[in-house]
Amino acid sequence: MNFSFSFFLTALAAGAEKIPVTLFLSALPMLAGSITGLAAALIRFFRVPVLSFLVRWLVTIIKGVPVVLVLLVFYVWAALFYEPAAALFGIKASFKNLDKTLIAAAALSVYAAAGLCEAFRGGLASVRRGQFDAAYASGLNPGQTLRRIVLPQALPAALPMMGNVCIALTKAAALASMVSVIDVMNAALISAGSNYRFLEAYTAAALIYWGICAAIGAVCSALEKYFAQKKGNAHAY
Amino acid sequence: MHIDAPHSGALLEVRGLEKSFGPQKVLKGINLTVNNGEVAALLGPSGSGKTTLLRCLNFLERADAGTLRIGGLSVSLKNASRKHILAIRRKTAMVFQHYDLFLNKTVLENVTEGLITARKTPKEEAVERAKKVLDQVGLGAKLDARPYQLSGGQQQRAGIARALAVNPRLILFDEPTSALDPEMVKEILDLVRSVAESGVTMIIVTHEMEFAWEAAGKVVFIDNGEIVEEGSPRQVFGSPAHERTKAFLSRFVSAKTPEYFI
Repeated sequence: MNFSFSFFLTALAAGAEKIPVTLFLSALPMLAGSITGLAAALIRFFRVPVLSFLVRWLVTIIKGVPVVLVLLVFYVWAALFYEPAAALFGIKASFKNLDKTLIAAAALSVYAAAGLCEAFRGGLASVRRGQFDAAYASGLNPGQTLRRIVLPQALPAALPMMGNVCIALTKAAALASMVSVIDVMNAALISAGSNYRFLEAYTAAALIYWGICAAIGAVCSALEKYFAQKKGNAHAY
Repeated sequence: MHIDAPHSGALLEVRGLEKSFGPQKVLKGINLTVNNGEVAALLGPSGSGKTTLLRCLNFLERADAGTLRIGGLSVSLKNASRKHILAIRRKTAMVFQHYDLFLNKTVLENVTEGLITARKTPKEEAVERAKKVLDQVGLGAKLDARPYQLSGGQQQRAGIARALAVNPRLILFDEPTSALDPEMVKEILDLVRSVAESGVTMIIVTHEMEFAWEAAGKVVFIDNGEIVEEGSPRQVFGSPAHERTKAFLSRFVSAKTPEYFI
């Protein structure tokens, strides 16, 4: 078994071409998941009746199943409900023409929201109780307290876990092949379809993922450093 | 909501304040009056409910029963409206045992926050006011420092500046020196005293008996969720009427020269 370096480069090029797809599949869920995850974390943190209970169960359920399963469930739902739902709004749409990347992005958003909810909850829990007291005693209302005092401390604290979620998403994007989306992994594998040089293709895909994840990690630690400098050690006294 | 409305004598009147944490009743019907410009010291053993009482006054804790009259505004301590709570908080200020400076803000921003965000003071005016107050507490050179760069004493000075800046009718001090090194205690107490002398009404929870003796106009001894005794320092320290007060004060009193307590 010899390693064809030239085919490795071919697979690398084929995989690299699909980096935007993989980035899209981690960036969009990261964004959508941050918004819903933050809302969910706040609901839990402030123990909003009923909703808090609901969020807790949803997060437990989502975190308790493999990502592939979430993807497949979304795919089946889309296949069943996309056309009737569109028809409801008077739009004639066909599931065949639906960009499957969007289905994958939606499914990964749900997965991200569950992970980010936990990340933000951890961040909120790390804010000292006294910060709330001081803000309220200063006459800030709850919204101002959250925006100006609590979240600026909670979000940096949640950063390491957010980085983990982002890296997990990038890797989970490889599963989008299950719903016929071609990302880095699949593009590399397809290129090996004709000559069965899968080792080269796998190696190429791995290299690209390492690159992306290293970049995400670098951005995260730069951000962490930046915030650490701004805040110092909050628990120093 | 005119809290400023001048009211003869009493600035603050608490009636029938009760508070439980779970099955444990920590405040059992507190009645307390504090006059305009008066410094009231709340004394008592740990766990007697002093801090809870203080925190009920600006609604950091929600009492189970009782009314609060502050200035011209009379509200239920149990279910005051958000609007009234904000109004009361914006006319009062609090200084905390653990300083609780906003960790994401500089010293200057800590002081301007309550002015700009809560009271809609124009920024320039707020900054000017904050600088003046920070100068007054001796932190004029630390405007851009972050809380973690300050010593405990400096953080508490900033905390006091934050309280003073909003020009409150009433300042609540929650054991302002309990977390400080012994050598810092005196400088903070001197600062609190100078604030008191400026005529601001204050309620101060403290374990510093000497400070209460010297600076307070009224001493309130709380034990087991009840006000056991209150009066001038001379009355309470000099001739305590209740056994519990005597027992609590005995250590402090015996350490003092007798002529203090004629």
